[in-house]
Amino acid sequence: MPETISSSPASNFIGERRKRVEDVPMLVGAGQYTSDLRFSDMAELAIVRSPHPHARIVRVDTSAALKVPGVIAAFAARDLPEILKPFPGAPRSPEARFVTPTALAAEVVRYVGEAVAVVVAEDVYAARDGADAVVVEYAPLPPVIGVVQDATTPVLHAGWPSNLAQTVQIMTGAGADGLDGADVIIEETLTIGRLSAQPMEPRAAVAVYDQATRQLTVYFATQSVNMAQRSLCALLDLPADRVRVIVPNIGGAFGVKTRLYGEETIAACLAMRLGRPMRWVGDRHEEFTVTNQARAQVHHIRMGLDRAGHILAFVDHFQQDAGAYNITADGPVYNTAVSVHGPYHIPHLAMTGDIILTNSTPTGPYRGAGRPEAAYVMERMLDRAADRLGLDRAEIRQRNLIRPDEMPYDSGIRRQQIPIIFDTGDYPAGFAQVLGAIGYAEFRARQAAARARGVYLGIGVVNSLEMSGIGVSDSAILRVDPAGAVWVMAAVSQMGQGHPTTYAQIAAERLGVPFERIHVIEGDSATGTQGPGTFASRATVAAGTAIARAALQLRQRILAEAARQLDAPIDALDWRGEYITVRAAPVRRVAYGDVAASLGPAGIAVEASGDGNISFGYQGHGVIVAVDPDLLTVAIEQYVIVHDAGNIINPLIVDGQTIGAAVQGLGNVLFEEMRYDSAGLPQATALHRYVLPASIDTPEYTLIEQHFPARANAEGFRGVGEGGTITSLPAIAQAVEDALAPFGVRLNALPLTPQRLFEAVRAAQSQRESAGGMA
Amino acid sequence: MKTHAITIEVNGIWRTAQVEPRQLLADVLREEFGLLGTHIGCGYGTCGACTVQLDGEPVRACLTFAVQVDGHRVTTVEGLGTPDHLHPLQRAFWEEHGLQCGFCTAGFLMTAEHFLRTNPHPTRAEIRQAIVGNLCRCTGYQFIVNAVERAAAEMAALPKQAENDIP
Repeated sequence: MPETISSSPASNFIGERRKRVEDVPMLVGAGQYTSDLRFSDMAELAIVRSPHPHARIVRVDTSAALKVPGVIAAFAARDLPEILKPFPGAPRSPEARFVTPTALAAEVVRYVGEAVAVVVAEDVYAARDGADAVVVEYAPLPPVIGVVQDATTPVLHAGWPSNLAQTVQIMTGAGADGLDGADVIIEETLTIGRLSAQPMEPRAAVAVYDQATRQLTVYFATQSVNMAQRSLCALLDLPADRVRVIVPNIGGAFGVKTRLYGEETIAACLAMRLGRPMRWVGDRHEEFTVTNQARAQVHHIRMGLDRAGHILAFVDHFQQDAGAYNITADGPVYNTAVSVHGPYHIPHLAMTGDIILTNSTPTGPYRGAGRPEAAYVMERMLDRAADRLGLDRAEIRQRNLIRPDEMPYDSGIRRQQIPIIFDTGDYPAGFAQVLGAIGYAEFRARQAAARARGVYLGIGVVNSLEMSGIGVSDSAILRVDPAGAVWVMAAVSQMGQGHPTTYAQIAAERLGVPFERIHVIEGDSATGTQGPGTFASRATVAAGTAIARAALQLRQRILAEAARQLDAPIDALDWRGEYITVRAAPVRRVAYGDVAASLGPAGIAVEASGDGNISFGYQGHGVIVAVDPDLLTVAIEQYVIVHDAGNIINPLIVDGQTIGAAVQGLGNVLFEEMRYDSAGLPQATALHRYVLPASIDTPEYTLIEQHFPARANAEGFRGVGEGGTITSLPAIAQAVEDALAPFGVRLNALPLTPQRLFEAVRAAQSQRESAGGMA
Repeated sequence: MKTHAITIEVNGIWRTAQVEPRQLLADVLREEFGLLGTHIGCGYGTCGACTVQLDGEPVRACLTFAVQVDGHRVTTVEGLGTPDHLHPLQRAFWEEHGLQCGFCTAGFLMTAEHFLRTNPHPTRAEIRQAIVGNLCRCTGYQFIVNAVERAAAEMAALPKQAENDIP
């Protein structure tokens, strides 16, 4: 084998199915999550929250709380003027109206759960007793529920003409005019219900202020350590060098821990005011009412096709329920608008997304962040089109898929100047694998045989693309210390997706040192590395490529110095494991750590930038369900996922991400819904009222991989954390509708709970009866 | 509030605490004894993250008052294995990628340890039924089932332990 010393070390860590280095502490109960942190003299916080969806705060009386044993202090908004600035943020378009909350509401509460006061106590029991003793008098205002609003709807924020914050528009080709050339136009309204992500760890924060050094350190589970640090500096009026954010182990995040919330700011402010470490640990109820919610879109679609089933135009006007403040809703709306296109030819596209405020918990990114909605809309419209044109549902997809010879394929979409270009892949081959593995060709016979026995089977076969990255690059720092330990630093956080292992695999591979010598440091604003954080399937692409590039540069620097010390040209050297040797005379060798030591007292460090470019990985799902015709419950019989993860770093972790994401999608389709009643009260604020998938609800997934290295970055990496969720929504919905086809149901609104299926079956039956009896 | 002195055998060591009647076992384990491996996911018995064993049987530490376990034996994840001597279940969860964020893991381990004592040779369907009271948001369960299946096979090959004896 030819030796290519400088760029290809003889290791083989990228691609290795390796168990994770970070697991042992978590397995023995030493995982160190935020709520596990302990500081001497630490006080506990409890938050008083609004029980009203919309009300004026008349009076906050904390005097009774102060009499509760163990309570140290209690504050309403008026008592903490230093944190009454609105949360930092800016709209992405100049014509948008933009409103963010304050950490405590001062005059008006706009959703159930909005923070009104805080109690500080010696322990959490006393803090909660104190919170119960705070008296808040409210004057209720009429609540605004849902995105169907008119001129009589109350307006949430002073000075706004309506609750419409922003309209996002994406157009390609002739836009809506593209419908003019269509043979058929299909109109439909599709709804994706409101969800709550529900990580197993409720949010928490610990703030420590060192009076002597005037340093504030805030520990909390954020996906965006640098953005969190900057926001805290802005809110607390502190310079950047006095605030450090450290991210402990994160017990799941899925997008909802991207933004800064009020409690971190409150804890930080009180740690400075009272001179004691402050801890707030949220509970599950707060996770349901305070933490960002998601989805909550209604789409009104017109799709134009020719008689052969080719899509000509896709026109979609949709509404996003942003909740009470549009602090984070625009990201998912942009994602939906640019992602509806998917892996198909769409000559004319017109997407219009209205961001509308209501008296509910704010919505924002959650696994997929607008892309599951987009895939649901496109795929369900293809189902409708196939049914109308008398085409097979797989056939209509095959007729519209982008072909590999068209790659890279410019969709024509621009997301704030960033072109949406599908970089590489073979979508028809992927879909063929889906059809083959799920047994599509044989299914109709199997379905008929099952129906004869009273078993209602249905099949779903769909395609999607997982967009990795948001077009922003990260930096990473690699240091080789004099002992040969390698320190990898990046500006991302890991919440279970295995960065300490995958980043070490990348660094070990590109640097050429033993895997065990690598240590990954992330989730700390003091690393000095740049990047917006872990979201949008971007961490492996943006930070991973930065780590790879820094490692290659570091290897060059160390080899150059070794060549000087060994008095041999670089290309005469071998670097295997601990030693760099002269190939022709292996006794002439030097330890790489010693080389690093000779370059500086702390060894040698390199900072490099990664490739933030967006890439798109194919994902296809094939699913067979059985629907109980009496109970209208859905059982997954078989599930196949074909996906293109590009150059895979650790197949074990990729499989875990894919299955985990698919199960979240399954919950999104079948069980989960954050409902609000007509009075604006949330109806599912506990785990027994908001059903999450359990072990008996989920199938054994069969995973099939495609390997098309992404062209958008030097390492060919793609993100894999969201494709499973994105693609599950339309796949399972299509299958359930297919199973219930004998009843003539059309399923347009998610989730497909037994109650909703029952209503759909009944509606179909009464429609048939009024049309003249059963067919 | 009136407090009570309680004595509990926790992971083989008798420990005492002065607790209010309302204090939950989960809080006492975490705040009084510093056993932070028991996590509180919901606080009302639905998610299973806080599962510990009381006299060898799985219980929700968030639905158990500390005063109720006075004089009893409690086993937490810290009593299951150590970094140098992982329990076969812990080893199997590691090998099979049965955890991602790790927050729910202790509850799964304590549930599964009891389950494998009662059913040492389970089918995958039986494993799924056994862990139905534990929620995981990351893994989608498939690799947890793999892990319990692997641990069962490994434990079956081990010399038989005394009843209720976590190594």
